[in-house]
Amino acid sequence: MLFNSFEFLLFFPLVLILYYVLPHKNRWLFLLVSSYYFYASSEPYLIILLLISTLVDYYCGLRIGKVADRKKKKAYLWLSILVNVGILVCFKYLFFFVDSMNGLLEHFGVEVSSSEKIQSYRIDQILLPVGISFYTFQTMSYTIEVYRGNMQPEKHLGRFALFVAFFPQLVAGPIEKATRLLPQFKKHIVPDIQQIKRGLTIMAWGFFLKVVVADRLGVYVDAVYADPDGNKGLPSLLAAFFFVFQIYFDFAAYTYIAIGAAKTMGITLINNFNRPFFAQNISQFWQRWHISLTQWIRDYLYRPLRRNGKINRVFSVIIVFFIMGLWHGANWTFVVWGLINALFLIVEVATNRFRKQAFDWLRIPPTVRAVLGWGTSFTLMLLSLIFFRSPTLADALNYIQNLLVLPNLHVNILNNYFELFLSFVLIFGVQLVHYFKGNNKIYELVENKPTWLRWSMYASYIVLLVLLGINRQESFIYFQF
Amino acid sequence: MRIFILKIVVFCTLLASAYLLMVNKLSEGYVDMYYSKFTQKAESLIIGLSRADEGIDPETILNNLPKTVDQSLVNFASNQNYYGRVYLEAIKNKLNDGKEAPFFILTISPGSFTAPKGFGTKGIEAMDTKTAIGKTSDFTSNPNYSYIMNCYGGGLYNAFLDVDSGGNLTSHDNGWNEISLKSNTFTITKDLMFDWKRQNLAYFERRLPKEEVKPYRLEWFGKTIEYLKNKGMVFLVRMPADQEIISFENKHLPTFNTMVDSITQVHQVPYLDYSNSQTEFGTYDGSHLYSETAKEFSAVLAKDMLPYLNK
Repeated sequence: MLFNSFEFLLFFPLVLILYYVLPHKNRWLFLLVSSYYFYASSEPYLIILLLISTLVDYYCGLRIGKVADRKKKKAYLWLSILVNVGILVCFKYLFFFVDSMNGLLEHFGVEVSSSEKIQSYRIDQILLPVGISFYTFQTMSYTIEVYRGNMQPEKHLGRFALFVAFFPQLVAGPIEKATRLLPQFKKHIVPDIQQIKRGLTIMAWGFFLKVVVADRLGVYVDAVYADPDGNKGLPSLLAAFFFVFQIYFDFAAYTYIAIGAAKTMGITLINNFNRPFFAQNISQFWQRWHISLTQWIRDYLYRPLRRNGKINRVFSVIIVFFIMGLWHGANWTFVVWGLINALFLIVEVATNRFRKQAFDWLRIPPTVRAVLGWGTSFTLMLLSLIFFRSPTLADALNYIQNLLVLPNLHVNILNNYFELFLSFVLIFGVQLVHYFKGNNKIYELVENKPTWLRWSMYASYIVLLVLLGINRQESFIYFQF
Repeated sequence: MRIFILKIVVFCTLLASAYLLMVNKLSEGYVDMYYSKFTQKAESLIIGLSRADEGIDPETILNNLPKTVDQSLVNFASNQNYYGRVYLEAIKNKLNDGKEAPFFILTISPGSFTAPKGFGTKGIEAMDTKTAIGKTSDFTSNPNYSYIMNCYGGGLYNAFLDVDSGGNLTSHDNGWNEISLKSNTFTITKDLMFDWKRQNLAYFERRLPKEEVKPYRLEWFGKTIEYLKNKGMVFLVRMPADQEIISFENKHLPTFNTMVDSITQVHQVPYLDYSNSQTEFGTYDGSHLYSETAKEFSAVLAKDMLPYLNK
């Protein structure tokens, strides 16, 4: 079920009302059934994977908590990791691995006949289960935390299943840690009007970002990427620029709706963004973008890699970004996107002292340094995201070449200057709101304002959403991961 | 709490009312170039891609056929309508079970049977489902709110703008999208036509390595013919285009004609091939006929269909 569908507009109020009407002891069951319905409404049979992941990790968690032998604990942890990574490999990466292997063999002159190629694992045979990368990472965090002794295993299977499947963040995060989310399901939550209002305001902002801004930018981006060679020069540059904001607003929109929906039910989810495109360097960017994933990677991959000192920082960063890229999708474009970011980060750290000395020597004031840093990191992200958006590496390289074709200044490829103008205004406007309110205090836009002002804002919201909304009911970009 | 719920209800009611009002307002004027294909029941249909969408005028066809032939012909072709399960379902929903003897013009070109490489059945169907014929469940209502709510891709503010006026495109109520060479605001000159043809050829060249003919599309094309044969007379038509474009298609899919021949034999339907027609029908971009040539071609097509309809 899409957040931006009419179905969800009926589903969510119904769930919210019944959630508060039901007694506390039955809420977990109601939320669990609702979450499974939410997930199964698109691909019913793929819920089996969610159930497998849930049951295996529930069992592993219990066993880790029960056995005293360290080796046995480790064995159960590995069982959990293998099952989850196994599900990911089978349903997300197998075709990619086989296809890459075939390509490699053919590159070295080994004939691979079509009958030898594993034809059964093609995208038409296996549809990528929605949210698989999110819930497998989330449920793995539970067994790791139990193994590390940071939490007791959850004995209540229903609550644990709810932790894995909680509908607001099931298909595109934020990836919650069990230590944060599980205890919240045990709390006796009474209806708090202020929290509900805040949640609804955050959701409303999410809908606005998706329907009015992200989908609008997507129209231009899709048109250029559908025929990049026919749109060389400035249109390509503009589409690359728009895509930076399309993906940010699209993903942020999903996160806002998820956080807002959870908040209305008294559940607090982690903030996934902190004004990423105001970052003044790449390190800052990665501390502000998809925070729940970067924290997961930092805690469960980077730190263990660095802990025993066997792998140095550079290689650790490369491994981490390789995994991060691959996490996003079974395509070399994502891997290269990850590795490019690793390269940016390594170069940035390596040249940090030199750049500081150079700036000091040139007496460049801090404001100019900040602007230069912001401009550089934005441009680098723009370039790396071309790999993220392109279907193949060759397409991405071709697209970058197209950026350099200067004579074509015809940016109005949709024959609609108003839409183009509107896109810029919306990007600027949303960034301005984020600059002043951050990503986590959007509700302050209306909270504690005089009644007349609040209702004027509600009215403006309705008018803007209805008049400017793009009616495409496009799924969120991060659904595919 | 009661006041809070009341406020929420007021807000939602206002939002829903404003949305529905705007949808209704939009439906009163020009929606988009495909909308008129979704606003009436039909007994006879023109089916295919954009060449048929712009190149066959239902009115000219009917004017050149006797009045005994069914008169509710709709151009149900569009640049997104590839043969497949989704298109056949849409056709079924579009058709009215009338008493008149209907006929169906199924246009084809190599592009009608292609999909991106690497896509199998589910991938193609998922792609087709995202088109207008896959998104809407209503193909016949007027006004068609389902179409606007599910398929309309612009902002509803367009309801206040006179989007339709002055352009070279006229969307007719019978589904035909007529392209005029001259309008109040723009003239398609010979130079521009030549330039667009070059661009189209370059575009086809770029798309070629990424697309392939799919057995899925051929299979559902066969199913579409069989379904329509049970209802009336079916004609397969290869649309005319610029000879350079046709040569390009024949060069890159040399088996196309043999493939179509075998389809016509299997399904026993007449095949009218205008790809190498003695009469050259002018196009504005190498692929698509413009107003005058579309009418000329429609008249020729009707005359060629007549002997079969009189049988």
